Amino acid sequence: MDKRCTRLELTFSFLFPRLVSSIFFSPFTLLVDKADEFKNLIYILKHSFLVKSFLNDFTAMDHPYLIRRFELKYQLLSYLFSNRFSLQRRVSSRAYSVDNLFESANWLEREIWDMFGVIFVKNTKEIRRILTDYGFQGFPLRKDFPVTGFFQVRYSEKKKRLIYFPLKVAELSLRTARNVDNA
Amino acid sequence: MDFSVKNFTLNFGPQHPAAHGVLRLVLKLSGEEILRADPHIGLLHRGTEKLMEQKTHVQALPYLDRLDYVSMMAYEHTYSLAIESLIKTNRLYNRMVLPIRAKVIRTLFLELTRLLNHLMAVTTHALDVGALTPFLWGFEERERLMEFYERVSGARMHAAYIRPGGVSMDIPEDLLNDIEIFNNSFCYRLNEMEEMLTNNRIWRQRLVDVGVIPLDVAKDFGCSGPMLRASGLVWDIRKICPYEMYKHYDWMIPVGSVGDCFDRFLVRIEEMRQSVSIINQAIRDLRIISGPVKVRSGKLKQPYRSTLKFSMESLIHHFRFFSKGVTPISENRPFAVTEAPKGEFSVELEVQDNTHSFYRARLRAPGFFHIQALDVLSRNHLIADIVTIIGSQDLVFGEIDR
Repeated sequence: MDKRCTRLELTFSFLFPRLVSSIFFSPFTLLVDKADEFKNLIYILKHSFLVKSFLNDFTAMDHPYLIRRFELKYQLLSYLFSNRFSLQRRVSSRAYSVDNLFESANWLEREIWDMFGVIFVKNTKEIRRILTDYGFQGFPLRKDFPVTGFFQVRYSEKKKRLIYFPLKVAELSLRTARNVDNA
Repeated sequence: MDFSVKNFTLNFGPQHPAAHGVLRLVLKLSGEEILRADPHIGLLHRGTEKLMEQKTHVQALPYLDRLDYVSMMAYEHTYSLAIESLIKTNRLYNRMVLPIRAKVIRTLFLELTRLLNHLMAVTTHALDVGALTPFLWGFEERERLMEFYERVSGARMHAAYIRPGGVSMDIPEDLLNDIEIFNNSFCYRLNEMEEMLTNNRIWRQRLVDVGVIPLDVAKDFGCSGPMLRASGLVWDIRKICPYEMYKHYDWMIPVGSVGDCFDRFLVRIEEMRQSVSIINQAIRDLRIISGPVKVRSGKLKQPYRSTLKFSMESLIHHFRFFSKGVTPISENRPFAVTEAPKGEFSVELEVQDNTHSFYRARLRAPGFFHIQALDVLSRNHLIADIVTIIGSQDLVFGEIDR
């Protein structure tokens, strides 16, 4: 159950973390749009005495028709009071890296870069692709990426190695197929 | 004499038996000492999250089995919890409440799954370090556990047994007795395993003070499960935010003190003993509690076959369920987190109004965070130690690569 909490509620949870720990399953979500505000807030959540939080999860979502296309969601977990905060940001293609704050951020950012193509600037560690193949092109979890992909791969007996070649038949993605089916 | 020693780089994997699957590890070495370990993951990437976006809520369930292929039911359970929170509960509330028998069966099989996973983790760890025998013993027990899987669901591994709205069917009559017999003898199997390992000199020399991860570092890396508990934090989601029947059962959280490989081994062994205790309590409850194993509402599960021929509503529910998935969905973003055997596994789903598939499904795999810490864990260790460390992290690439 996703709640958008107000500033007041957040302040409240800073002051009385015990009271909101019952919402462990449903993290408080706060939408932060300004970059500075976001940086300050995540810094506070990391370092404040009461809610010393750690980056537990970091996800993104693609809304291709919006200008700020990617919705980033940082999920912070406080082990002391066992509660979760979610910070949400809408970005167009780049965001500030938080890997100087959290050790776990680097691979999560690499995954977001790999899957969505969001660029993380001011990073302190290397950001390169993580889950896809070496030399992969495109960003698979974007909505305009078909589920079949663009390339096939097979072993070439002639070249004695795996080769990539474009999909011969322009296969429809399952999603498109279903839409056609429904109509 | 003057020697000039050059650092060199070594490929560990992707076909190394101690890499537990497909892990390519690029090691930068100075002599035998590891300066930097750079794990290249993704060789088993199947795009589960993308595939789940193409499916209805019903069809997406078996993907969760294939995520972590040594602890299957734990993962489908988390997904089921997320789907159950998707349902609007204000209307039809009574029909949506999970029957208690379903909860006990779930708890029972979650703990059997934990045994399944930890047996794999501990014994293959021992195998990597050089002890073959516990592996052979452990796999005999795993075979029995998979037999229980088979008897409730028909499949040895990818069960799809725990489903949104309960479990797929009730357990067979004589299964409880067999689980109890297994459970009682399993303590002795554990003792045997501990006799072989715990005070074994070689085992201790290979594990004690190897791959120490201090608590604050473990937290910072997002470690969870035995990785975090071995470092000394009492943190178990089954206690902190109890789901199913864990609140009512009597069990404890084992915690390590140093955070080395040996602590992780001990934590896993003790967790197995606690699981045995939970299983006993669940069996005791299942003998008393009878009743249905699914919710009453046809919105969340398929209606019984017997009602299909006589009830119009069941027919409609049947059609809706298999063509559109779970129907009365709420606007919120369902989120469920559980203590999978490997650590904290969470499912986060985004549902769109008009479609019957997910807009986005996020699976937080615990192993992804553990393997990220491998570089820090293995620094200034010898090559042989990295095998120990990987083994103690309990990596399965199905879930890490997703």
